Amino acid sequence: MKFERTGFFSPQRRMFFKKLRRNKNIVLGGSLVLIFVAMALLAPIISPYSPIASNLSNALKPPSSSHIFGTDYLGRDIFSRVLWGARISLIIAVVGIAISLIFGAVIGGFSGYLGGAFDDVVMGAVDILLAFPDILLALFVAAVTGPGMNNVILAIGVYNFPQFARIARGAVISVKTSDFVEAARAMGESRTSIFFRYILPNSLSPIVVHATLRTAASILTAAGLSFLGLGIQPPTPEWGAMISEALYYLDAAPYMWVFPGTFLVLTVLGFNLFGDGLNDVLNPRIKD
Amino acid sequence: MLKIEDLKVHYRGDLGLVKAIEGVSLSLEKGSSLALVGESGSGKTTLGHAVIGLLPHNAVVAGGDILFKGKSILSMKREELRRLRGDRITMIFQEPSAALNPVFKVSSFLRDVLRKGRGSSMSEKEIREEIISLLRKVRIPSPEDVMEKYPHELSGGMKQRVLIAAAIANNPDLIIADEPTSALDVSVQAQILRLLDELRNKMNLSLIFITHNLGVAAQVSDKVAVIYAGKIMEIAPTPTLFESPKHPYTIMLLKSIPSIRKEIKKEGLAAIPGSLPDLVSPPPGCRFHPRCPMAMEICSKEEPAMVEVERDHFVSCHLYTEARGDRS
Repeated sequence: MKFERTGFFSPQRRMFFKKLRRNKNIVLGGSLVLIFVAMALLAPIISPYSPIASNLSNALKPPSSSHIFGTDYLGRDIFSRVLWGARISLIIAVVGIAISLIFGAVIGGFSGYLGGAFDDVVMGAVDILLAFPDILLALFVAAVTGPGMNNVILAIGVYNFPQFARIARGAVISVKTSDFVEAARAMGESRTSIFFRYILPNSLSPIVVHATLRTAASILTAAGLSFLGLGIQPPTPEWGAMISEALYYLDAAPYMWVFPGTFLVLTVLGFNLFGDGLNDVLNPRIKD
Repeated sequence: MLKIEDLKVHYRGDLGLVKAIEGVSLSLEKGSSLALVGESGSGKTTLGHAVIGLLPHNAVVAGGDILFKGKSILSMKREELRRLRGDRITMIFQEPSAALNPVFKVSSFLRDVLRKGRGSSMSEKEIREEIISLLRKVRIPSPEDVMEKYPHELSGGMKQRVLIAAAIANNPDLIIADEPTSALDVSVQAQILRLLDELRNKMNLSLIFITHNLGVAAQVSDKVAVIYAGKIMEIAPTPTLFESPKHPYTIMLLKSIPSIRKEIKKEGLAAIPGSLPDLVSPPPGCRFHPRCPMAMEICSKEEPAMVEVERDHFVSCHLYTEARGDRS
C-alpha cells in the first residue's frame, strides 16, 4: 500500500485517504482539477509559442503538427493560449474565492458566534446581497469598477461572499453549542481564542466543500464576464475572451472556440465533481 | 473556602420564569468533597455552572451570593472570572468525547491550559515534561505517545483522564465534576472515581461532584447534598446519610437503587411515583409534597425550614420541624 508510513499517515488519515480514493467523484474530478492546475503552473514551460505574439501571415490555420490546436484570427497559437488561459482562470478563481471565503467565514462566523443585534444586521445585509442573481451582482461590480483582472477578482469575491457568510454562520451556530466550547470557557479561554481556535477550525468542512463548488462557478463567471467584454481584456489569453473572439469565426474556424470551450467545460466539471465528492467524504451525515 | 448563600437562579423561559434554584446554601472546606445528588432537572448542574460563572444567557441570579475564598464570584468582572477558571476553579464534563476540541492534539490542549496558569513562564521543554508528568498523574500509560494523539484516537476513559489532567494542571483549589463517569463503561467508571479520590487527597483539592447516582456519591464524597426541584432536601456527612437518611425523598432514592439482595428482589425495585414539578409555578409549601408518601396538611402550606437533626445533618422536612405535632 502507498500510505503505509508512520507519523503523518496515521491509521485514521490512511482511512481518510482510502475513502477519498474509493470515491469516483473525487478521483475523476480530482484528476481533471489536477490537469487544470498542471496546465496553469506549467504554461510558461510547455507552451510552444508566446500566447500573445501574432503572426498575420499564419492566421486561422486549422490544427496541424506545428500548431496542434490551430491558430486564431491573429495567427496566435491556440494551444499556448489555452494553457495560459488556465493560469489566468486559476488565479482569478483561487484569489476571488479566497477573498470571499476569508471575509465570509470571519464575518459570517462572528455573526453566528455573537448573535443578537450584530447577527441581525449582518445577516440582513447578506440576505439583501443573496437576493440578487449571482451574475447580476458580478456584472454590477465589474461594470462599476471597469474591466481588468483585479476587478474580475473583486467581482467574484463580492458575489460569493454572502453565500460563504451564510454557510459559515450556520456551521458556527451548530459548533458553538458543543461541549468542547463550553469546556474551553470553563478553562478560562478568551472569546477570541474560542472563536479562532475552537469554533472556526471545526466549522470548516462545509465551507471547504462550498469553496470547491464555487470555484467552478467562479471560473464560469470570469469567463462570462470576459465574454461580455467586462472582464479580462485582449490580448490576455482568457478562455471566455477567446470564445468571444471566436464569435465571428464560428463556422470558418471552429477550433478557435472548441478548444477553450472544451477546457472550460472539463475544468468546471472537474471542480464540481470534486466538490460533490468532498461533501460525501466530509459530511458526517452522509454515510457510505 | 466556597460558600453559597441562599442562591436563587431563574431561567427566562417561554412560559415564564423557571425557578431552577430557589434558596440553596452550602459550604465547602479546602480538601473536602461534596456530592450534589438529584434527578435530571433538579438544578444540580445549574448550581455547578453558577459556581464557575458559566450560567447560560437566559439565566438570572435572583438572589444570594457565591463566595470563593471570601470573594463574590457573581460580582466579578468577566476578565477576573476568566483568570479564575482553568486556574483556581476547573471543571470536568460528562461527555469526555464531546468536551475535547477535535482539532487539538492532547499536548497542545494541555500546553494551553498550563500556559494560562503555572506554566506561563516555562520553556517549551519544561512544559513538555510537565505534560508528561500530568499524564502520569492521571495514570495514562506511555504518556509520550498519548500526548501526540488527537482525541478521536483515544478511548472514552482515556479522554476523561486527559480532561482530568487538564483540570488538575494548575493545582486548582476547586474542581467541579459534572457527572464525570455517566458516559463511561462501568469498569472504567470505578477507575476514574478512584483516580479522582486519590488526586483529591494527594493534592488537597476540594471537589464538587454532581451526580444522579447515590452509589457514585458514596464513593467520592465526604458530604452529600440531596437536591430536589432547586432546593436542598437533606445534607449530611456521607456515612450518616446512608445509615440514617431522614428525608422521605432521600429514603426513597436509596430504596430505588437496584440491588441483588433478596428482599428487594421480592418487593421489586421501588420507583418514586410522579415526576419533578413544574418549576415555573412550583407547588406551594414543600416542593416534594405531591410525591411524598408522608405528606401532611402543613406540607402544602408552609415551606419547611432546615433543621439540624444531629451534628452536621440537616433536613428540610416538616416531619422534623416544630410543626410535627400538627400532623393530622
